[in-house]
Amino acid sequence: MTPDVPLPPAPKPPSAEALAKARAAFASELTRPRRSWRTGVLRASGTIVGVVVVVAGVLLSVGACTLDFLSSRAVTLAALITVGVVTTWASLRPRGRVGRLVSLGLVAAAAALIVLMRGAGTVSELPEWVCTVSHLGVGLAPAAVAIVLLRNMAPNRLRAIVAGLAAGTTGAAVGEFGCAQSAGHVAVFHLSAWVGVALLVAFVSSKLTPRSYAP
Amino acid sequence: MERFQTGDARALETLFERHATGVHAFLTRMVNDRALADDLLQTTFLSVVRSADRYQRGLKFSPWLLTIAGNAARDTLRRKRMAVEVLHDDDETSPPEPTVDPALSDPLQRRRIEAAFAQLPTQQRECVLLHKVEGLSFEEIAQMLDITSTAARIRAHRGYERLRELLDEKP
Repeated sequence: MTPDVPLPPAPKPPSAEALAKARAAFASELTRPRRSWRTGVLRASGTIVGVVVVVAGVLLSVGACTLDFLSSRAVTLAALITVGVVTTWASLRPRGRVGRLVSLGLVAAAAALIVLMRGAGTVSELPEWVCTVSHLGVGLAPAAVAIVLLRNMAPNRLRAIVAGLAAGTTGAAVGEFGCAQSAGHVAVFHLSAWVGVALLVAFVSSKLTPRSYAP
Repeated sequence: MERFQTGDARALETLFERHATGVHAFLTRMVNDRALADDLLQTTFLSVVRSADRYQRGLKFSPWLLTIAGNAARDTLRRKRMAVEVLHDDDETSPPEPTVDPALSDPLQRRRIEAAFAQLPTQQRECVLLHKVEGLSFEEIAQMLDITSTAARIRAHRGYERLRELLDEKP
């Protein structure tokens, strides 16, 4: 039942000029190529997987990582890549608030997994923050793709954080084969970079004017 | 909308003719600024073109379109940190507009209602508009705004309560 509260009178209809302007704008837009959000999911997921593969290739080629070491981290790597792809899909699909909340749970589970699967680890000669900085660095390209894609939909903080967490899986995955330090190091220096990428995406996307306000 | 999704550009013109006036009225009430509502009408239909693939087949088109319009209005108000002003109509000679309430033929009463409505927080104003003017259920509003139906109900009822308080105050 509608409460008996008066509302302002119906506004005047839009002027012919305003209607003509809107018509001209969308007629012009019709001539431009349009990309599906599914293509966006492929682009964003492809960037995450691509960066991880390129960094792995570089580390293997310079001898900073071995195939044996890489295969010993196969479980966590597979989990992180899967979470990255699923979270990317959840962040870009229309509506899907529940999916985004579930993907937050998946990220938390993956974060717990990479900490718990890491043993005592070894001591590195490099400062520990090098991991944080390098993870932020490898997360920049997926973060940029996520920010561009987020402009094609209505601004939404949860969506932006989930997209940022998806981009952040890149650094977390690189940390699996690029670092052999302890669980404590992973919990502090790897997870902070992951959260950092998420916050970066959420902050930058909130400052940009969207191209579309579709849900 | 499904015809437009399959590439029939004329279907968009039909949608525009059918919905432009209603969306413009919704936007004018949301932002209380006719010029800004004109711009947002354009933004809304540009969003329809750019994001046609985000429309899910089988859903009603009108709530989807109002969701886009509401998103655009909220985001624009947020960005401009706009203090919503009472709408001043420059055209004093125009004939009286149709009203939702016969009591509003009194210009002072009409201004009071406009002023009270403009003081509502954006989220409450949107829920009141969608519920009372657009006639949508709280379940439909919840789906549009990506919130629970309880949250939609609470926002609308807080809006109604606030309106009553503001209108009960002496001018």
